[in-house]
Amino acid sequence: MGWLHNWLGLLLGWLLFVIFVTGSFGYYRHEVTLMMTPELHDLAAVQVPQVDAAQRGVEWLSANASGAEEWGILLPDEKSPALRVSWSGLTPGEQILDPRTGHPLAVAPRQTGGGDFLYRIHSDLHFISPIAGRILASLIAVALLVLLITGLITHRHIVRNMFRFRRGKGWRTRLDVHNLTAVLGLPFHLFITLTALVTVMMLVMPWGVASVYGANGIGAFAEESFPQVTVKGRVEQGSTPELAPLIGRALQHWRTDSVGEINIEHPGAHGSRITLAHPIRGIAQFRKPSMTFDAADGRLLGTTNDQLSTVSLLHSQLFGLHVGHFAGPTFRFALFWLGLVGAAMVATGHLLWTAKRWRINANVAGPPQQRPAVLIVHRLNAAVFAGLPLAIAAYFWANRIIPASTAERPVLEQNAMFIVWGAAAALALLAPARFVWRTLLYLGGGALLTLGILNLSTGPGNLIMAMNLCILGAASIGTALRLTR
Amino acid sequence: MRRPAAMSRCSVASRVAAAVLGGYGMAAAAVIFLTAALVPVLGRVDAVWLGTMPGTLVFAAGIMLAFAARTALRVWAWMVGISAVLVALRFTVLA
Repeated sequence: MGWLHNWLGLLLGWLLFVIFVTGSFGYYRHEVTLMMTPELHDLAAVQVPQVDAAQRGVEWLSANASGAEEWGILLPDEKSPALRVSWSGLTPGEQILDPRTGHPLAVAPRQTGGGDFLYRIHSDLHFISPIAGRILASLIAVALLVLLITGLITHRHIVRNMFRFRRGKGWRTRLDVHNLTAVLGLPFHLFITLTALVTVMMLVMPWGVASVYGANGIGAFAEESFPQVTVKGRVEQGSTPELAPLIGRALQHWRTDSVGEINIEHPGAHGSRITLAHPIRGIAQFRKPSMTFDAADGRLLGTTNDQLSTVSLLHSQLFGLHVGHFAGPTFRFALFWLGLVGAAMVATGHLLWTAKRWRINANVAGPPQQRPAVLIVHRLNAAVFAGLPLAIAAYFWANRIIPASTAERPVLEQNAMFIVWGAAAALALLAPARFVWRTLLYLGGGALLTLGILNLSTGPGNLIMAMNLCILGAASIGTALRLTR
Repeated sequence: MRRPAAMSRCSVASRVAAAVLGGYGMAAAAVIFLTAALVPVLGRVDAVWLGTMPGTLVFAAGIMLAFAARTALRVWAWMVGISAVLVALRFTVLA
């Protein structure tokens, strides 16, 4: 089992590290987006009742997008303080509004890929088609389960050894850190792997659907799994939707203190319907309950996902546990750092692999000849494990530096990330390894730390992200300092 | 598996193929069998959801089995045997 653990880990570890890190940032998807939209930081302290914000959204849409097929309204909450409205149809678009006034902000918020971009790397990877990326990520999830179990078998005394930490002892220290991060995070690692498998299982294992529903049965299966409200609203012209009473009924029905997004189909026209979604706060659930009303008279046309069967609820909850919408601030903080503990486990596993194969005592004079494979792994380690934090820091900094009104900003931010990562990789392949590790860790740590401090100073809304970046930056610099000794 | 150095290249290649192809095939067979077995109890939709869940776990187990067994030939024999029995049951008893 040790053989399988070593080689499977070596093969997939770099991608696994990227998935762990970007997935950790995925827990703070909306907070990262807020951090990357400084124009909205002042709004974070503002509290507007949902009913008022919703009505202002409808008024703005009535005045500016009256002919649209559908309106969407995303109400402000503590993670995302702006009022976001969108419309679809011939000329689709979206607009960020000030929830206090219902008008666009005086300073238009910058366009950004935000946390969504990192989150998408986590699930779909990058540079390959999203579907291919998702299948690859799914197979890596299977491999991660194998790695965890074979790791437990290989290090049979893993829990006992956790209490025996050996500092400054070469590969033994790396083994101890690898074990420590594995054991400390083990409940998290197992939970996140098993729930990840639930999120991707239909993609890698469609054979149950095919066997029960037939080869082309995926559509029928999806329809039965995720039923929609099919009743249409009544024919009525020219009515402006009144949202406040509907929100009140939804709050009462779900026993929540807020609602999620609001969708209005065919606003003011034939068969208009209003759908309110559950906010998914404090519960682990993937299948969102929703309520659909007749826009003309507020009659309830139907609900979805109110009463799930035991199996559907199980699937919904396992999926919901993975994406973590249920987590409050403290739990979310823990999940973020546990994800990074997982990344550290992967990285130290790789460092252990090279350390065990590093030739120190050569019988011949001169420096020992390392095998090419070991050298390549050694250098790729620096490129990925020290390069990715720097690349993410570059992404965050590019967001601050590129002028707010530039066209195609999100693409430029992404380019900054990949160019810096590419440069880091080139450096890692050409320069001496210790120099590369130190340089990349210092640069990345410094960039994250300064960015955290900058964010602390520009608004109260993203305190948690600012703090996380400061800790990350300090940890990175601390690691670099240790390497110099 | 105690002495991996003893594994020949041919054996490694055969085990890797068994892990990927055989493991996946065995998992697919398990899913096909389980969903069919659950349909009478849970109905179509839930049978597929619940029956698919263990699939990826069987895949992972298959990968480990491929490297734990004494010879590569045994791995293939086990995997093909288990898959064949599951699929046969699905199309006879559960048809």
